[in-house]
Amino acid sequence: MLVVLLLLVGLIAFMLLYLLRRAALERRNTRWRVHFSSLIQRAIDWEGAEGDRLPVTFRASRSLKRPAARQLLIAELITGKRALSGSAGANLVRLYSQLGLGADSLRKLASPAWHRQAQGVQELALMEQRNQVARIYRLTNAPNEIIRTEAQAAIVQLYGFEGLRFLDVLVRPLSEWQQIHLLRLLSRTPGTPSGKLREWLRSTNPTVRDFARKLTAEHHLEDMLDEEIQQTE
Amino acid sequence: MTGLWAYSITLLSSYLAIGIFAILEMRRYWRLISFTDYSLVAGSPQAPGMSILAPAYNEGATIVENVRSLLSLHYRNLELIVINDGSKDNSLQQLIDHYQLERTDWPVTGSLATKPIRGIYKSANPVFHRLLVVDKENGGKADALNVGINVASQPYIVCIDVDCIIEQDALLKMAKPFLDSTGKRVIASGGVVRIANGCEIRNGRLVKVKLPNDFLARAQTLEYFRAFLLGRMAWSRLDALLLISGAFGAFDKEIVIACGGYNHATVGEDMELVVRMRRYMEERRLPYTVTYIPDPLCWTEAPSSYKILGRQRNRWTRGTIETLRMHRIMCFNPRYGRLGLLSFPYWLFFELLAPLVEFTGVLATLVVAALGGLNVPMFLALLGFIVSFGILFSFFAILMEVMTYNQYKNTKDILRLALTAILEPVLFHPFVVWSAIRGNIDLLRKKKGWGEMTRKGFAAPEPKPNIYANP
Amino acid sequence: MNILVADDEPMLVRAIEGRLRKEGYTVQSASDGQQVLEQIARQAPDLIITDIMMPYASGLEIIAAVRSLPGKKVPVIILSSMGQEDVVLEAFQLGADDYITKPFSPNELSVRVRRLLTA
Repeated sequence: MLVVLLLLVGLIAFMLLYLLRRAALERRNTRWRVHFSSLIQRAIDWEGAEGDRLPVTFRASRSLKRPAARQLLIAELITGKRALSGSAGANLVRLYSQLGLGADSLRKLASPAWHRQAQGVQELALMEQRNQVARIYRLTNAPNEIIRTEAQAAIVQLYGFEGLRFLDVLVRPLSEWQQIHLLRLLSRTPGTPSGKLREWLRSTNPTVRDFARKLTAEHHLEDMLDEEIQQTE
Repeated sequence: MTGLWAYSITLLSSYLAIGIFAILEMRRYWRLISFTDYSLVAGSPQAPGMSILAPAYNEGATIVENVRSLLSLHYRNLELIVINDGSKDNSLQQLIDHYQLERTDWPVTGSLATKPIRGIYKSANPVFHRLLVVDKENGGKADALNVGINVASQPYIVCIDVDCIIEQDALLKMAKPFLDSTGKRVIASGGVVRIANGCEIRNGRLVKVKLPNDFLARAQTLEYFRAFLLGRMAWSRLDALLLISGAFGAFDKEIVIACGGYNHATVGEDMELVVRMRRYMEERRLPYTVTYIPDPLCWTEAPSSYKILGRQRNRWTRGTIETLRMHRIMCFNPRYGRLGLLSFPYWLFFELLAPLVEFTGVLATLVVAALGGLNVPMFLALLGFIVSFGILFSFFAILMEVMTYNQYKNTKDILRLALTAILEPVLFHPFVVWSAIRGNIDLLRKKKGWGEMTRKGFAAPEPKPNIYANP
Repeated sequence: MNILVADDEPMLVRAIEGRLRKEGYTVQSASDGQQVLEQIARQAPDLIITDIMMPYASGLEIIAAVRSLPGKKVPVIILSSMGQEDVVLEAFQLGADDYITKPFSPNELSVRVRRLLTA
């Protein structure tokens, strides 16, 4: 019984500490968000030349020495990039590169924790860091489902229909969710599915066949395929 | 005495296990959803179609508002079916007037046996194209739901009480497990019911979450934390979730029909259906799973008086007993895997029998004390142990809530919850145990007067507080 | 010219606000459907830019509410991540004046705003 009371006291102490810490963290994050808000705003509106550097306040760059602050900024940049395209979006990417945030995302790829790896993949993809494509591509067949789906989405975001190459070798299933996700991403890129479509329709992976059928329907390529099949028969 | 000790130790260790599994599962879930963009499903034509089934009986005061709020949920392939279970008030007329309903020839594709349908209505106004109203002869909630299943045109059904407030994203979150599955068929997806008492509600929407001022409602809030954030999360991790709460769940319609729909013969028709669906899949050795979403998706008004609470718990007890008895073949039966070896015995011994054990324990203690043979320090130690463990578990549940959804952000609210946890063993728990005992007694009694007595019990609903009245 | 911007993502609202203010418009913002309806009731803006998926009232409901207001027709631009054909069609059928999908370019938005306000 004493044990239970001790646990109780311990739990209460833990809760109090947790609440205090969380409140402190929230205050700190709010402060950072305010600094970063104007930073991002200026980046969105910026109309400088290709080689120029985006304006960064001293206060912002000082805050950015902390990894937590950098993570916060990355999250804000990602939210922004999801919503904005054109020069605004491009500027956000430029800001990301200029501040060296790519290193933080890359470090996540090396982490043993699956959610951090997936996070890293997502960040690199949205911030158009194509130089890491080889590492991301290797993850498109990863055993962990989330890493795999993020990697697939990343490749498709960066390379459109060309990126679907991973379907050739994919042994793991493509869930409906993932299929919808990929179709959505593809609908934003120009181009059409390559001749590979026929191969995918005959894949040994039933979910790949399913996805190929959806692609065919989406791009109204049924006629073309029927013709091909007739010709080979 | 030793028997009681043994039972308590086993019960408490199982709670400990639940605590651990719940944390692990919650952590995994939290990380998972950080990668989910639900807006993807919201607009997608590929998202699984859902039919919301909302049986209504004499809900005239609020039905128009309820329907309006349900019609505005963010989901593309959504069909809202309101089933008027032969209401004696003007519910149907209000709906017809407000939503410009016209009689229509709607195909009834399901084959479940039900009371006759008097008419099916659709709106002439394209803004309300998702709404379908079915008027039928009174037959009780299970029957009304079965009518809804027969009429539903979408592959998944969501069964709710019409006055539940459903979060905007609820269907998106419920749909995701159906889309994620590869290999295993997801037959049901359960959501969490939260307590709406004390919350600000405007136009049928939850505007602000607040802790109920009423002790009874707060005690239930705490209870729901324990049940949903800890209990169900833990069982979900073991993929052995046996019972899904009545108020909210999405089901694969095909399997529901194959199983025969809702069963009239029990007051716990919602629980019983899930057990039957699981049995169906287990017996046919079909790979399947039942998923669980811990996010607050559905808000409902909890009983705020001891009388109504008593009736509710009485009904829950009877429903659980009836369900477990109907499917008693599963108990300790390895053919049903984890369900038979873990879940079923757990529900039987620790959920169903617990109140009985407690009650007999109390009686036995009183008898022994009267006879002068009571080992007082031993008894106090046992009592103290159990009570403080209970409080510990509640505090843990509060911590879980604070660390995850954190719906009650005020420190004052957290303190009030803690206080409620301390008062609970005195002011709440004994009452719940007593209601459960009454449930057992009532069930035994009704067994003799089967048929007539039970039917009356279904048709008369409990008076529900009106959440649309100003707080 | 008074513009009402509604989106549940604060950064987006700020970005649009900043851009429109620079071009000389007065901008008010809302983060959920309820706020939008309240502001419309108080004083009808000259243009509304709104998302579809927002808490309490969807963008489509807002179009319907705006169309039922007496007086001059207020143009509504829908700004949404849902780009499916039938959602777009439904929005136009309900009375939207323009539909922009996310991700969008603020430059483009400002051009479309100007077009609707000078029409």
